[in-house]
Amino acid sequence: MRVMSRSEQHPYRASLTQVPDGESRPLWSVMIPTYNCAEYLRETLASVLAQDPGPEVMQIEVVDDRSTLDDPAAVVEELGRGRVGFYQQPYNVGYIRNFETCLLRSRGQLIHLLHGDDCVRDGFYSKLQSAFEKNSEIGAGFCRHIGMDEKGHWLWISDLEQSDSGILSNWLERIAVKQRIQTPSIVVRRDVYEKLGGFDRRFSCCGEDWEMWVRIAAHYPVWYEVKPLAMYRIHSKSLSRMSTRTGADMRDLRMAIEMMQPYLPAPIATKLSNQAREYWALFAIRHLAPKMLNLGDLTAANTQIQEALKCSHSLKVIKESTRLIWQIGNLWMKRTGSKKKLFKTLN
Amino acid sequence: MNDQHSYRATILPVIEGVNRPLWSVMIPTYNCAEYLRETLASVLAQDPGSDVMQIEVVDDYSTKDDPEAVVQELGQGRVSFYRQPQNVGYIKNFETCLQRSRGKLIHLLHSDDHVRDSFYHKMQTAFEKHPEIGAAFCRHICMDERGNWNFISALIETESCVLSNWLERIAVKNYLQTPTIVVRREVYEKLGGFDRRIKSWGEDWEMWVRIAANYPVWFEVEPLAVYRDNRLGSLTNQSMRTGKNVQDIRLAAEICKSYLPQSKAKKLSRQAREFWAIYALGDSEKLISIGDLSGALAQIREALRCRLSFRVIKRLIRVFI
Repeated sequence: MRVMSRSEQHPYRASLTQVPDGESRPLWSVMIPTYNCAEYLRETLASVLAQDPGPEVMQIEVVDDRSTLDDPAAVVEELGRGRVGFYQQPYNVGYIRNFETCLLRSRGQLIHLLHGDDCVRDGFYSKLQSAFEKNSEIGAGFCRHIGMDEKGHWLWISDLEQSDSGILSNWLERIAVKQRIQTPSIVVRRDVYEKLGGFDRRFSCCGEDWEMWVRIAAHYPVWYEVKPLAMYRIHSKSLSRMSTRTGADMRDLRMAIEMMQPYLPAPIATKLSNQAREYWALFAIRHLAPKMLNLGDLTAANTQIQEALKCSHSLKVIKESTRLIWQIGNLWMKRTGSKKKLFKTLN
Repeated sequence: MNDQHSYRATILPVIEGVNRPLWSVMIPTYNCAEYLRETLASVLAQDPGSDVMQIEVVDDYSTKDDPEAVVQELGQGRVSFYRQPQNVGYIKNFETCLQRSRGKLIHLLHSDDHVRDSFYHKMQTAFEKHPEIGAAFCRHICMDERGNWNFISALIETESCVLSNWLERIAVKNYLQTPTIVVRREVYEKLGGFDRRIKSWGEDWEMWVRIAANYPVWFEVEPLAVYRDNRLGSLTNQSMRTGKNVQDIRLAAEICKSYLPQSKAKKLSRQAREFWAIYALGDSEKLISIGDLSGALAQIREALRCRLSFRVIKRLIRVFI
């Protein structure tokens, strides 16, 4: 009850009201947010329709955030043939608001938010359905995922959290330290969103999903399906995202960690937060900053290091950032050196 | 070419008149009947019929279980079974697999591994479209003892293709696992079987390098083979505990060196030995973690014999920190 009143008045989170009595309620709502990804949407829809238990059991709807580069409605019509609903925002609302619309428009008891460039593998819905049927206490269930590139080539498999499917133990403590779930792999009961509210709108580019999974873990048991039944796509373009250049991604993650702290058991909250901070700081130093360096963007690499150091001052972070700063310094010297030479030759 | 090589089994051409299917799926087995069930099921699900595919399990005289019963239960007469009269060791057992094969394309599928749907179809198409290739392999997925996937092999090309510079790449490290590769029988007839001097580790790699030195090789981008990674279990192997495995891989590297273009042989061979030395140091860490110090020391000793370079020493320091 405490939780409910909090979410209802939360200024930054959508409140979901219950689906009115009398309205038909399918078991599933597969809600598919899209924005300029119609070419992938084909595969997404095909993967869902291949497992379609029928409209009485599953709502399938594409929610488009006013795509400008392609025509998702045409894909929905071609593949859905009337089976798949389509809603388009009146104007571009941004991805978090679009997710919100997905949740608000859902009528089913289990919500699967499936981005329009990801897909599911055979058995996803049946496996997760039986997990919810057999374990009525769980608030969410997720499976392992496979990362793929733009061409659909498989790149990695997410960590094996435990060797058999089951309810995760110590899940809050594990998910609070690092992001272990990708959105297409998780199914959440609608009444969980009704109690806890939607995604937090204060996020600008990332972290809203992670914060949500931690929020859920703090209130409900979570089921783990050991088979990798969801496919998550990464785009090479996203490496040069504006948010990484400006460090907005790291600021979002820091904000997520702060938001989560009250959900954590008091005696270990600080410890877990520090671990999470170190994890993301190292992520920035080991992955984001070197990527910026590879792209030749020294300023962005520096921004990432600064953000990492704001995030954590642990010994590891300092050690690894020092090494990276040394490399950047060398690169910078080389560059300015060659500029001077260039000026000399010009003069 | 290597018809009389004393260390390699001679694979004689199939006698004329014998019915020759396109495929030979040869499944060597030894005390792993529980996994064999899954292996056979994965092949039978893609079975194009006995005219097109020979499927045979070759048992190295299992002592702990009954592979023949599994073959009978799942194969229902479709899968043949051969049992060695005594235990001959895994390399000899592979040899028997090659010798007993009658098909044009040989797939040596260890009985704890399996294939994913469309493996045979994709590979067949590659050989049909590219008659010049001697072998074709796909990416693989590693799984643990319970069948949980834990790793997908590297995307070495973004499209399926005949690999360029393949010899120079495979000579430096082993990119593939046996269940992923299909080899024309004719290739084994020309190049001979696995090298018997290599006793515990690396005989597969030596063969793939040998093939790469003589034929173009096809790469299939989809991970269609699933390889069971028993490294954790193999930590207790005698060869691992004594460092014999590293001696073997060093020998393999030495043998491979002779296949390489002279101008690059030295450099590539050095890189290969460095790769394996660092690999062995990784194993030494694992041995330490299970408390086997003497095994770890053996790995370290052999790693340093394999290659002593700045990188290897750097890695060695990390073992101790």
